Amino acid sequence: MRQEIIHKLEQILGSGNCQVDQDIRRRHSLSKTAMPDAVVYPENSQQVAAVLKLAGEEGIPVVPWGAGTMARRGLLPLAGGLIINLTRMNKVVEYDYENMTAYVEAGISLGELQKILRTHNLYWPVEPVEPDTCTVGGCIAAGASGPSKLGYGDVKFHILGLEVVLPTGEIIHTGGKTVKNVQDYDNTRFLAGSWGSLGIITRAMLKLRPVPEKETTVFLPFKQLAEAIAAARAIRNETLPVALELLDGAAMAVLNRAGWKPAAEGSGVLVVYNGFREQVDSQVDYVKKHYPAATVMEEEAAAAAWQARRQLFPVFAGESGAVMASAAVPFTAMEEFLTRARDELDRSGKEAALASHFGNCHVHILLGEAPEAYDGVQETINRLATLAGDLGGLLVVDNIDDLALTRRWVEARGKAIMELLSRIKAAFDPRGIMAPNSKVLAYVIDNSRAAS
Amino acid sequence: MVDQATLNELVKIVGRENVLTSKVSLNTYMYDASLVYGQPEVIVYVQNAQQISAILKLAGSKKIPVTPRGGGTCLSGGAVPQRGGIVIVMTRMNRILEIDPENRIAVVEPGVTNMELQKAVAPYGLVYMPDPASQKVSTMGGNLGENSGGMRGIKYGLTKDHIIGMELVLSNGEIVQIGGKLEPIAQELNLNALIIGSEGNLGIATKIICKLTPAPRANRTVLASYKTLEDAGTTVSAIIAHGIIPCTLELMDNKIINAVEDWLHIGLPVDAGAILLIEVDGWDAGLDRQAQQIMQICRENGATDVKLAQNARERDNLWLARRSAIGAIGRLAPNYDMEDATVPRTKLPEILKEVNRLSQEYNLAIGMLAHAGDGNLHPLVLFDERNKEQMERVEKVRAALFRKALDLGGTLSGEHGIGLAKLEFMRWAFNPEELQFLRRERLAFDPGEILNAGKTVPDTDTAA
Ligand SMILES: Cc1cc2nc3c(=O)[nH]c(=O)nc-3n(C[C@H](O)[C@H](O)[C@H](O)COP(=O)(O)OP(=O)(O)OC[C@H]3O[C@@H](n4cnc5c(N)ncnc54)[C@H](O)[C@@H]3O)c2cc1C
Repeated sequence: MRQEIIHKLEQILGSGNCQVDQDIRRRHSLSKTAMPDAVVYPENSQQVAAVLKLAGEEGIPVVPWGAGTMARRGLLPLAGGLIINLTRMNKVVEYDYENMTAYVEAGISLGELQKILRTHNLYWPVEPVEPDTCTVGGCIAAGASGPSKLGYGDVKFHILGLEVVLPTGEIIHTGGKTVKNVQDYDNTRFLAGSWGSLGIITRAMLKLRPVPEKETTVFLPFKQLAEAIAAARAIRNETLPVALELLDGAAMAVLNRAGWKPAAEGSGVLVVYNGFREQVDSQVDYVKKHYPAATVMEEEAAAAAWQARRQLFPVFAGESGAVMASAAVPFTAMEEFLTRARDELDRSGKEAALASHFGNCHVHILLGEAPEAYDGVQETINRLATLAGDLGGLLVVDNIDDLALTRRWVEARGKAIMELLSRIKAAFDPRGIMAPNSKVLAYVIDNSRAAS
Repeated sequence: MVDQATLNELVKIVGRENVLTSKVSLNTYMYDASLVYGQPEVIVYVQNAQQISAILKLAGSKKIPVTPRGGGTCLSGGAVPQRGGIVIVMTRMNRILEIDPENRIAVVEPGVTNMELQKAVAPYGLVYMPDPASQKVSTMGGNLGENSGGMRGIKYGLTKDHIIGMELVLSNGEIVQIGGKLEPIAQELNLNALIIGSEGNLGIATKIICKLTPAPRANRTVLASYKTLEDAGTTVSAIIAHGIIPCTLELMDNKIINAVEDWLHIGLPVDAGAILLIEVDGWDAGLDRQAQQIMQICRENGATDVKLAQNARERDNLWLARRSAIGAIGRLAPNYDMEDATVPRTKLPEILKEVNRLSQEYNLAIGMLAHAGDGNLHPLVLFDERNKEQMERVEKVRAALFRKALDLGGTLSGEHGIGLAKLEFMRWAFNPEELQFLRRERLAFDPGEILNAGKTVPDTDTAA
């Protein structure tokens, strides 16, 4: 990057907020070889706007960055350009506990936010993998969710409005403070899950919930995967769980290694109920009656189980890394998909685990192969993708750079879709500087990306 | 302009019996449920997506405005063909294509009414949650177009929370599939978000995939009476602050209470300044305590009388009262204007007071209904369209109400849309850059500006 541009950035941000240091750049990169030219740390939306105007004039790619905990899933490696690190924009602008909203800057960490919300017995029901460090803006951009998306939906259900800096440098506001609001096209939800491809979220109006009176986790151990599937199906159909997770034997063994050791071996089902005391008690009673081996957990015991559940991928992946794929199939096809996928994985001889947000019909497939060695598992993945497809579902690989499966899925939406997506991209980003490495649009703006 | 050649083409696409040009027909389609109108040049009944595609291609090549229309109950002019051109009537695309109970999904054509869907899924113990008061006649396509809400919005959300996919004809006639039945796991943009609530600007939905919800197992319904609207408004926030999220929290003022009682004779408290209709639902266990807590909170906030519905008949009566409110008010004056400005919940008492003040200042009768739990007002301003001077006062009251709602951190519209009726106020809600951006976004979908153009987002020149 030209020195002159660095100077201009320093003028906008102050010299301490524009970093070209190797280490810092490396920490904001997604591969060993491709690094950004500089990392900037704006302190307010006006600075973000000024940086984007400059980048637009100079044709420099810009990529927003929160805590970086999810970046690998949504971004491809990119050489050059600017990283806009938002963690210095971390204030609560307004906590209106009476209306159950909080207007916050995008860089506030979720841990900090939840601590503040708890003073009035409220919380923001988004629980990504790293619930302490990750930023609110990152959660929104990544369309984050946790196990409770069964009960409450993913992050787009928990935001009411945004302040967004468009790549043109314009600062716009979407939505507002009320739950009902049809003034503008719903860009608030549209930007959720846009992975930086359209603009930079600088502030968000969060919709909060009261902390439930009671919350209970129930764990059900099963010798056979088939039994666990049948139980999960019945529990989804007969009760109203907030979270419903199914873990196969391999996944349960990883949770053991992650420090949570329920006595039994085999598959497991984790269920959460929350709400009013009498309601939770009667739901839990229902489960205990039908599954006498169920263990009821509250407070620390429950927290330990969920902490281990969040560690599933990192512990499975270890030092050497792992490929993670996601499948979605109709609820009624879950049994067949899980059973046949497990058989397929056993035949492949690879270390592999299945963990499912069962109630949402979403299955994570973990494969013991480094993402760089994806070729080694590609055949297995392709078979599983065909299986999902045959059952009316789809499969994508979350943490590799090959977007072929995704592109095929999107293209099947109709031949006009790519053109429409390009026009939408241009409406937000006429100069095409915004996160060209965002997986969400990479296969639209550059065909060759699909087959990289 | 729609010339004879265009009419011939339209006949070729949909058949002669489905192309209407008689004066009577054109007059019939000048209106929706708002106060604006405009005459179309031709009405076309369609049966499938291919026909719509062909019509849009034709319209695009000749720059003819197109207005999609469902039940025509829109309250903001969304279904009004103010630029003339073609009105595409969707009501004959009215098949329920699929009900998949265990997957909790239904697929419908856009002309299916909300009520038809409700009735079709009820035998499976399922509900399609959005329930606009117009559900008997409003269509799923119109609900999608407006992101309609209903009485259960506070707990169960709006149309956008329950439509997960669609088949969409773009303005250039191309057909695309948006969203779908599956959990969205692919790395792609969520176009559902933009299209739901886009007032027929961004495409015409020809199939709609809906999420169904297991019917709540039980409910408790409470009626609380108050001396003043403000007391009722304060109660609303107090209930939510206790961590209770009712499925319904509706408010009616004295005018509405009396209009309904005069009509239905069901024993509403005619002396009350306001009533709240409150319902909690879900798992049976725990509902009694919630209802007791709610009744306690009502009393603490000035309720003069609080009743728990003792049986299904009592509950049905309360619901009938609420659902009949608009019709009842309609009996009091030749015209009414129903707005839906929405404010953060805690600002309810303040805006209710303001509406009262406006009613006096401009000497207009205003009945007040509200989806109070969402801060969503429905003031009904009564007037006679033939009285020009009165009409001017109505316009002034509307403007003052929107100004106040925005000043209180609220919005021009909670669920009825901007359309034509609120277009001029968009400049109060958004700055020129924001409006320009929304216009760019609109043009990305409809570069030729034929699809319900001139609505929702004001033109840039007037915006600047
Ligand atoms: C008495 C009464 C009570 C009402 N109560 C409520 C209420 O409780 N909650 C609420 O939210 N609204 C309410 N409304 C407003 C209105 O009923 C809703 O906006 C409804 O969704 C409109 O549906 P419709 O079929 O009548 O659509 P229309 O009025 O025909 O059209 C509405 C909009 O959708 C577009 N559109 C229609 N079909 C399609 C399609 N297939 N694809 C894309 N766009 C399409 C149209 O172009 C138009 O912009 C009420 C109206 C009345 C008259």
